[in-house]
Amino acid sequence: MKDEDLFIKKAKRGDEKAFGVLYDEYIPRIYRFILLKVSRKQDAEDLTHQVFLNAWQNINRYEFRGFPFSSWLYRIAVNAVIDFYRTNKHEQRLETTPEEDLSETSELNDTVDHVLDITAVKTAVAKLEPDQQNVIIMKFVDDLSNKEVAQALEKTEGAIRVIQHRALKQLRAIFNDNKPKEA
Amino acid sequence: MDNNLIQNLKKLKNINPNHDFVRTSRISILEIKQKPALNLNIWQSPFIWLVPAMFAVLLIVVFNLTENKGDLSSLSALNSNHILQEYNLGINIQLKEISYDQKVNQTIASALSEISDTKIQHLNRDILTSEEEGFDLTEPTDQNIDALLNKVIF
Repeated sequence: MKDEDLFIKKAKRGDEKAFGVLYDEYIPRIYRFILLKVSRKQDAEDLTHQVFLNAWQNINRYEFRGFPFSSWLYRIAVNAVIDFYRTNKHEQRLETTPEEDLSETSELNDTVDHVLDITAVKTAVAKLEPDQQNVIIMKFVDDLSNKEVAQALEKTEGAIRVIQHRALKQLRAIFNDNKPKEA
Repeated sequence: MDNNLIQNLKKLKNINPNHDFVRTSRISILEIKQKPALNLNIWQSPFIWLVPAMFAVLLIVVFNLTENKGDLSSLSALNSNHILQEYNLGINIQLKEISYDQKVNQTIASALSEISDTKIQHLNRDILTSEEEGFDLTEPTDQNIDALLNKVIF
């Protein structure tokens, strides 16, 4: 994000408009990340709100030092999801992605297939282990670099590559299992 | 295969939050004030005035102690040997009081038993016995005293 450092500095001084700009920039990614982890829209909205509230109230504690703001937000999101499962202790309930949550730029003709594809991928991702989910979502959905993912998850870049490899292997196996068998 | 998989994953980018949720959440978050940052700079603390005040109180206390008591080491309150002596003295006093109280109780008990004794005896037998032991019947009597006694009795 251009001039992100400037907005962060202003937000640290209490400028809510500056934080609003950061909010607008990152909320789609954080919401998407959380929704793919918890599956239920209501839970995803609650947790997303909590993440940004936490970030706004504690932005004074954020210091760059080579650690990007996005990684800091993702770390708050990861911890929020962990706490959510710790307190709720319920299994993931897989919901189909409501059409209203899809981008409005989707072609109308592709909507049905699009929804089905997204649902299938969501289902597959939901079956991964938490660390694998985190890496897959951050890297391939939100386009974070290995370094940013490593910083967000407090792991080494080497560990991230290993987790990514295992996650893709697991996803392939899940998709192969779901493929209809040819007669 | 992986390319296909990754393309499918990228389709998840099309998931976005509901506009109403985003608007409502944004407003409610920005309405809340930030938590004040922990300020470790003592010179900006609202309680900075406490520092010289406490320092002044400490100075006054130390000054009083050194002026009135002279050598601080002679304070009995600070000398463990004196403390021990005072403690032992306290115990001894208490023991003597207990002993005294016991004697008083015995005397009272004797007096009460003498008063309550309904037999016609003018004097306590133990007292008579003890006095008798002190009598020396061979001692010459004083005739003047005898005369006076006879006068009184008869």
